[in-house]
Amino acid sequence: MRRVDTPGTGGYFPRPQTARLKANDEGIAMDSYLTPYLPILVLLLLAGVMCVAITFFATVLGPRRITNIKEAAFECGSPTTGDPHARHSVKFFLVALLFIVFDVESVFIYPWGALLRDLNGDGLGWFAYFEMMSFMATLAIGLVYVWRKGALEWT
Amino acid sequence: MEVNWLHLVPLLPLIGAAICGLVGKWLPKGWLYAVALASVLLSFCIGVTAFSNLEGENPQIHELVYNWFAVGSLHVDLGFTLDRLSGALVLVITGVGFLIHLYSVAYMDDDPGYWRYFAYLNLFVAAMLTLVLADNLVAMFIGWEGVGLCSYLLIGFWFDDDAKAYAGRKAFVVNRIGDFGLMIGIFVLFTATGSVNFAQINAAPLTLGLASAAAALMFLGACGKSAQLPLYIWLPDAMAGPTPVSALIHAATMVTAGVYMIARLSHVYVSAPGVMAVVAIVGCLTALWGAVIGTAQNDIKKVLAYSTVSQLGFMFIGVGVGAFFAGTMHLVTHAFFKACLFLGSGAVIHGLYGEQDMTRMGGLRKYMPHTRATFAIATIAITGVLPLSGFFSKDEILAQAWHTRAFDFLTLTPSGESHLTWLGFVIYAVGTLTAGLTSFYMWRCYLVTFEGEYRGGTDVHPHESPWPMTAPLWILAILSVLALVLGLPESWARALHLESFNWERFTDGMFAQVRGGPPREGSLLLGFGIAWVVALFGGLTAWTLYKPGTSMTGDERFARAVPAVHRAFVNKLYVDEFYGWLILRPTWRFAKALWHWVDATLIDGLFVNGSAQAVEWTARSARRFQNGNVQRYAAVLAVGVAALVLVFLVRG
Amino acid sequence: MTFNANDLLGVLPAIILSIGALLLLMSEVFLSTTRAAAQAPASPGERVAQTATAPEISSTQPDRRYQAWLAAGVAALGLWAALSQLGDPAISLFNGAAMSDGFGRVVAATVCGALLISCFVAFGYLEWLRATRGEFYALTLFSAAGMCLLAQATDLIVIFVSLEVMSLALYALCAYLRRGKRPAEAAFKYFILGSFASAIFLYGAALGFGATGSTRLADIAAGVRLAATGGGPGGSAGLLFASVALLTAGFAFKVAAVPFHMWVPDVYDGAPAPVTGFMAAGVKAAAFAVLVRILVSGFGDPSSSIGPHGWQQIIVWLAALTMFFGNLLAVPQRSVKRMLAYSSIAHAGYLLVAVAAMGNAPSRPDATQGLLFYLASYGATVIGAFGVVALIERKFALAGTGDDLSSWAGLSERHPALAAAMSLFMLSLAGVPPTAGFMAKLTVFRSAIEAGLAPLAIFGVLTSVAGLYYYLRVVVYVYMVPEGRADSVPGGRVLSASIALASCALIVLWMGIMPGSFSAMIQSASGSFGR
Repeated sequence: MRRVDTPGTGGYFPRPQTARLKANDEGIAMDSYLTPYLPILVLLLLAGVMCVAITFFATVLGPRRITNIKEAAFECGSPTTGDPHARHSVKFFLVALLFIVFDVESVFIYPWGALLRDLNGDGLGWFAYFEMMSFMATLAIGLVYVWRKGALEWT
Repeated sequence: MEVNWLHLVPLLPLIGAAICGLVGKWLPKGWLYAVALASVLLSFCIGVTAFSNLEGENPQIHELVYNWFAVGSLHVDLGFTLDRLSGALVLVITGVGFLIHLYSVAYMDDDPGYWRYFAYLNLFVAAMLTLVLADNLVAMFIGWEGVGLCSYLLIGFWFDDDAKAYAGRKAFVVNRIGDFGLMIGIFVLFTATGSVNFAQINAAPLTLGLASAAAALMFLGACGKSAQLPLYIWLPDAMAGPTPVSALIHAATMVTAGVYMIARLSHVYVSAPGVMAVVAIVGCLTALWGAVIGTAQNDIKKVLAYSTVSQLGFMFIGVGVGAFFAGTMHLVTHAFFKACLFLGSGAVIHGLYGEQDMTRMGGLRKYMPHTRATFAIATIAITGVLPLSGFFSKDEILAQAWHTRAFDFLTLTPSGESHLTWLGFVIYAVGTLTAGLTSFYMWRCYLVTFEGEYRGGTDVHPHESPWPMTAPLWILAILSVLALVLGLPESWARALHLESFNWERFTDGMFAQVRGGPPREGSLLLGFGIAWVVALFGGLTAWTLYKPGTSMTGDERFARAVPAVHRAFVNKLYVDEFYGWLILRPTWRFAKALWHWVDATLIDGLFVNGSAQAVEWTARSARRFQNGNVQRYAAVLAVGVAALVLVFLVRG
Repeated sequence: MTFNANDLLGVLPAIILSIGALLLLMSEVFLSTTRAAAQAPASPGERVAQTATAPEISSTQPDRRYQAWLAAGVAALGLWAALSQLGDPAISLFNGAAMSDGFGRVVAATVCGALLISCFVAFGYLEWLRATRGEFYALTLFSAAGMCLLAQATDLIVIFVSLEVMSLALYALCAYLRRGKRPAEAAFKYFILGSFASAIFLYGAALGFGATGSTRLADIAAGVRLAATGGGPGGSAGLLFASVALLTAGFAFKVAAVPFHMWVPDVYDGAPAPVTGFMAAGVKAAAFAVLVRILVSGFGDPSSSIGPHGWQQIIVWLAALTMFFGNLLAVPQRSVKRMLAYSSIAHAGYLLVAVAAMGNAPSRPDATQGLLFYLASYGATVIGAFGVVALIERKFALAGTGDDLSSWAGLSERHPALAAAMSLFMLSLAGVPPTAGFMAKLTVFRSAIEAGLAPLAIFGVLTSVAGLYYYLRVVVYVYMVPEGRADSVPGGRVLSASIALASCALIVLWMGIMPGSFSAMIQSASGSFGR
């Protein structure tokens, strides 16, 4: 399926009809549209029950002898010093944030690039082109702003 | 008749208020007075012009100011209607209002807040005129709230004094209770008739239930504004305001708004005979109640305040028994003589440098001849001595109550019999008793204040007031005499060629007829005779107890004879205490119990058991509080979402 | 699927605001003329500001005053764009992802108007704090663009994107005065809880998509109809119920309905007063617009149990709770800002009454009209009120620390016009005639009665009377309590703030005294909505 949009539905995605059709073909009493997901639910439930059960039996059955040594944090055999939470420079977060912004931009650009030819076939080529250009221009203005504000300088 | 200048009547005082309020502080005093007085006087002149243009059968002048708003099916136009009832009231409001403005020029001259005072007073006149002229309930409600606001501002005018500011708040809060009823009543009427216009409401047929609901709810509003049982408690406290304010707002105009509203909606009220009976009974009880308390007050303004409560009760008897013309007539005459009385008391207070206690007055006739003469005339008028206005208007109400058929309809059996014929007579009897009490307490007030010897301190030198104060007194006194032409019995009026002034004829066709039919014929002279004898008896009792020379011994004799009753009267029948017991005491108890609990557990458990522990605990909880805030918010949010989803799914 | 260039005209206000915001960002970094006045000795007000609370101190600060006027110009342009399209027929944009109709245009106009006045309020405030930076106006413009789009969006994904554009800008604006714990705390709380609410919204959107296979509101409406008749995929009715519940919850957070209101007092208190005013007016307008769009356009099919009959009762209860707790919690507040925050919650309750009234198809036009009128009147009033708060903060050099009622005592003595304006705004918030607030409450309650929700309307009237108490307390302090604190230095330039307050007061009075022309405009614009 290459088209993003299905004519007639007006939605971004096609309706999930395949699951229903298959269910009906097999003649199973599928009154719920969620029924195909039932196994997942069962799995989740089982996993949950297992977790709770194991923890429960471990606490009930296992012997517990708590000593100071056992309670202490283990760090390569030597006593811990200082705060385990290291503080990062705020610049780090700034750069990380900017990275994510442009990362997401590229995430958007990849599918756009892959689909541009198809869109052109639908008569939407220039629209898609300018749409992406305005998107990139907006982000570029943001980049210029950030740059001029000095957010890219580490010191 | 459609005109385009009627809006000037309320607009001029509004402009005056705006000028006084916004730039009054910086205006020269003379200019400010000129603006304040001229705006009301001009408004009065326009009112006179309009009034004299009323011709023909039930005439009215109407102005559609603008289409105010239309929400769905609710169309409200801001329109003014001047017919004979609202026209007469416009003249009273602007006329008496002007006199009181004039009086205030002298009375408030020394007060630093005089500009504020005149702004409020002008604003009040504008709001009251809006209330009276409005052609629909919504516009009337705006006027209604406006006068309430001005009343609040003026009662608490000297807000430096906590008691006075408190009195203002009390008036405001009590009135809110009534306004609720009024507001819901307006909704009911709109739902029932699809309109808020008086003419359309009065023309619409109403079922008994809807009419009763609307009438009862709106009567609650009237009870608040017009100080009827049980909502009258604010009015005596409202005397904390300047005395001219008491005269204008709390005697002549605003407090009568309830009577006016019922008369305006007479068609709704006659469709609800049960509510009419309630109105009459409440009015009757209030009249008696106010008069009884008034007999034992020593503060001259309190006497007049309770007298106002009582007289308003009379007006409600009038509209309650279906004699709308009688109720509104008493409204007009009462405006004259009660304003005169209040201004007279103001002159006394002014002349004695703020003294209000009657036990420290006496013998003032020597010092204040004008005040004394006008006070005496107004007292004669209110006590109902034969030829003066108060006699005719009050007697008309009582006569109508005696002979009314309004309640007949209420219990009419299929066979045409009625069991409630006696109710009118009971109201009449109680009303007559009240009239006797009125005569008593008013003469007591007059005698103690003006006759005998001066009992005040030697450092006070009583003096007559300047002309801006005495002139209004005389004009009002003359008006309270002249207003007798409104109420002359028809045969007398014909003989004197004064029938065109007769209020009943004048307002003919304006009010709805009660369903029981017109009142039975009664003997005119018998009624007059009884009323006269009763008034005379009340006056004579006052004379024997308080005649010059005996000074205040009347109270002592009274107290000796029936100490418990006297004590109850002095303490205003313990109404404030009753409300305190009913509402304040339980609240206080609850608070005390809570305090005990907090005291026992929190203070003892925390601080006595070791302050170190407490500090630690506080610090820990504070830290946890700081940390947990957002989480707790989020938790509440999550619970809310869960509840919402659950409710949706369960309902689905 | 086709693209029509005219579709861009439909979202013109949002486009204008976005371009304006980008321009401001660029001007911030490229144009930085140094102000000559900065070298002159600081005025007394500035000295106080510097020593006491001013968060941004720099002796040679670039002159950025033009930014306020640029932002105001952009806002005015946006307002013009929204108003000029007001009477045009409704058109669907971008293949049903958005809608340009009277409803959206009125909301966009409200947002742009609020922005315009807020720029004036903010100008003097920021200048006084020496905190004028391009980011402030750019962020307000971005969030306003988000609001305008939100009012026009008819696709859950577009709604989400606009929601985030609006919210992210606002989170930053809350923390705009960086030096201080309270703004940071406010922004942090708003951010955390706002993200939570966004997640809830997304979950609801996902469920809606799961049930109908589309995020378009029109398709969801079709799915609702299908589910109502028993057609459609099995179990989709349950999904739709859960979906509408979660979507409602997500926006109940944005409009500050109880029990999703807990962030409001802290955020309103901590954010700079001009921002708070804009936030109260704009977010409320946009969030209510989109809530109504989702409920009416998406789930509004009257024949379905998922439709109005399902959500109406929920909204009724939300409205009752919100009105009750909003008014109740406002009573003990002594800080005017916090009081206004709780009052904003209470007003969300009154607005929810109008939303509930939309549950009945016949009363929908009236309720829509009431809602829009209420949003506009509340916007004008609350911006005015926070504008006065901003001036008071300047007067006492209290920026960011809130304000106690005692600061207001005796205001009428020295600043009679300011006192009168504040009293007017309080009366309007309380719903006393002849102010806009009264007409707004009247129209809303009336539409509720028409929709058969008379008990809710009566409850609303009762709570609004309780509200009278705390609003009038401000008036009492302003007029009747003698001045307790010595005036410190007046806060410098007040001309722009005066213009803003005067226009707010005029709008409040105009809508209160002559609502006819205004409601006629709304009626003609929004008449067809929800039919």
